[in-house]
Amino acid sequence: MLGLLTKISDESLMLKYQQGDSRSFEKLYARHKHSLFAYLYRSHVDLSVIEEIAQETWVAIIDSAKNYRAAAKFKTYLYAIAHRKLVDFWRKNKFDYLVDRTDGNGESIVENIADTRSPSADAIDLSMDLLLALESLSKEQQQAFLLREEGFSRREIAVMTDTNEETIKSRIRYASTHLKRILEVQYAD
Amino acid sequence: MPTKQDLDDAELSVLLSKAEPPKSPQHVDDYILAYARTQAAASEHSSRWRFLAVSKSWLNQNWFSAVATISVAVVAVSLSFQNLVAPSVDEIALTSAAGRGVADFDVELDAPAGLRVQATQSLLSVNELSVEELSVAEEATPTLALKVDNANLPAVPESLALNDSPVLENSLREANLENSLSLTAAASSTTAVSSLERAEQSVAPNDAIAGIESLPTSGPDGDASTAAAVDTLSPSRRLAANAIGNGTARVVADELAQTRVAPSVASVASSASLPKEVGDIVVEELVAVGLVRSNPQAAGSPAAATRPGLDTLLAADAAAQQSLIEMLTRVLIGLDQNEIAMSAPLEELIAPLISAYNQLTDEPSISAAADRYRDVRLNFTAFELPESLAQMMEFLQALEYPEPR
Repeated sequence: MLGLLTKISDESLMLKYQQGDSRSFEKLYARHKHSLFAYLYRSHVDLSVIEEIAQETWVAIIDSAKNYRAAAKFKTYLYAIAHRKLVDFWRKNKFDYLVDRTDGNGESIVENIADTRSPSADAIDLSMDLLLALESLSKEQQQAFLLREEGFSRREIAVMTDTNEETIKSRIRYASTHLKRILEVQYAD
Repeated sequence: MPTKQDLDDAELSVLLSKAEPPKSPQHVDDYILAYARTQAAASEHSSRWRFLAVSKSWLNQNWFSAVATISVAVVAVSLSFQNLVAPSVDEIALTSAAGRGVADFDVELDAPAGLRVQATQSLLSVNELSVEELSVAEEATPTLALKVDNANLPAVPESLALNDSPVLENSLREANLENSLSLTAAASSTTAVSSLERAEQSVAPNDAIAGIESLPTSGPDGDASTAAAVDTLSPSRRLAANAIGNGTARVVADELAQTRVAPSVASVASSASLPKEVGDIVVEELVAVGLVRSNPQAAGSPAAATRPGLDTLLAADAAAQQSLIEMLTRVLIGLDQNEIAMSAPLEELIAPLISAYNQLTDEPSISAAADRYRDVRLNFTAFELPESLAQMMEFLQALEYPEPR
């Protein structure tokens, strides 16, 4: 309880770092580095690309620290930058970039998941199936779903993705329905 | 109560969390933290000078206000320094004179026997004074205490108003009177006192009283008594007396005729057509300060102060008499006569010269004679002559009627 009360907010840490306190940034980085890396990983990009985007995101945070104002949650600020880096990457590669996730036999999981039932479904981790199912979604639906899983509200997601709240609501609903349907089909047998 | 959709979403979240993503690699962490420390050190150093950056940004946005403020401050400081420099007496005098002229000065006297007269009348117009008249004024000035009385300034005739300070200044310079003709009226408290003291010293109280008492009064009786006297006046004096045209004005002219400053004052009076009241006050003022006297040989008069020396010289030196007669002959008659027989007494030789002077009835002739006198006087080295022709003729008239010895 006392630890919760004494926990310094992300915004305060960022403001301290703005004044030159590097330890505050280390605490901030430790809080969010893995979750951000996971978000990028679930967005289905290659690991090298994930590292690159994660590094660019944090560098952007550091460079803009002198102009930082605690007008919103730091996490929203961080993920908004990461999302834009991700979108830039997709646009640069014309949205045709696909992660080469192969199974043990060297066949692409993504190509198999949409129309074929996995012959070794029991061996595949259900969670991994969910990740694979995410790739079948459009990028907008995928991002809306993943950002919601990161704990952001529809309003915050709408701000980060430059859309309105109703659109985000629709995307999230469609993504959930689509993912459940895929998983139900896979495990129907 | 959770709905089926919520439950499904919760299941998806659980499944998603179970898929353990890869952790942030160590080399990425090291790079980011090292970069963060570097930037933190730089920002800490720059934060010390942040106030300068704030000032710079403020100036960028508000440079016009800053410039305007500085300009106003500079103007205010310069004006303050200007006010600290006190104007000189000459500046005050010229400034005062520029507005209203000498004629507007209020004459205030501490004359004895209750002769304190405060008149706001036009006495002289420097614009209209000739050089020799200014010379007269130069001598007369110490006896005048001029004081500015702004509250009581009357309307002054245009011909008497001196509205142009450069004209005044030029006139003064031409006559070399800058040092003597005191127009320091604005700062006149001290000057007035000293002038009055000199006036009291130079004017015997009894003389002033006698001068006042001897003045004819205006009216029909006065006209009759002064009519004959007018005929004996010199040309300029007759001109003034006739132009004034009433009893008091004639009295003024009559009085002025017996003074050294008569031509100038009478000329001014005639050209300005002074009203009756002005004439009265002018006479009172002039008599009170000793500038005008019914007895021209009164002690203390500037003319009288120079007369005994010249009297003595002329009485003792025949060569001096001859030089004087020759000089005046050239001035008044126009003859360049170098040899004059001095067989007759001096008074008889002077009489035609006085007659010739009195026959000068127009201003151009009088002015020309005065100019000739001035030129001759400059080259005359035998002895010192009076400064103006009018003074000279006055002196000669006094010789014409010598006092009993």
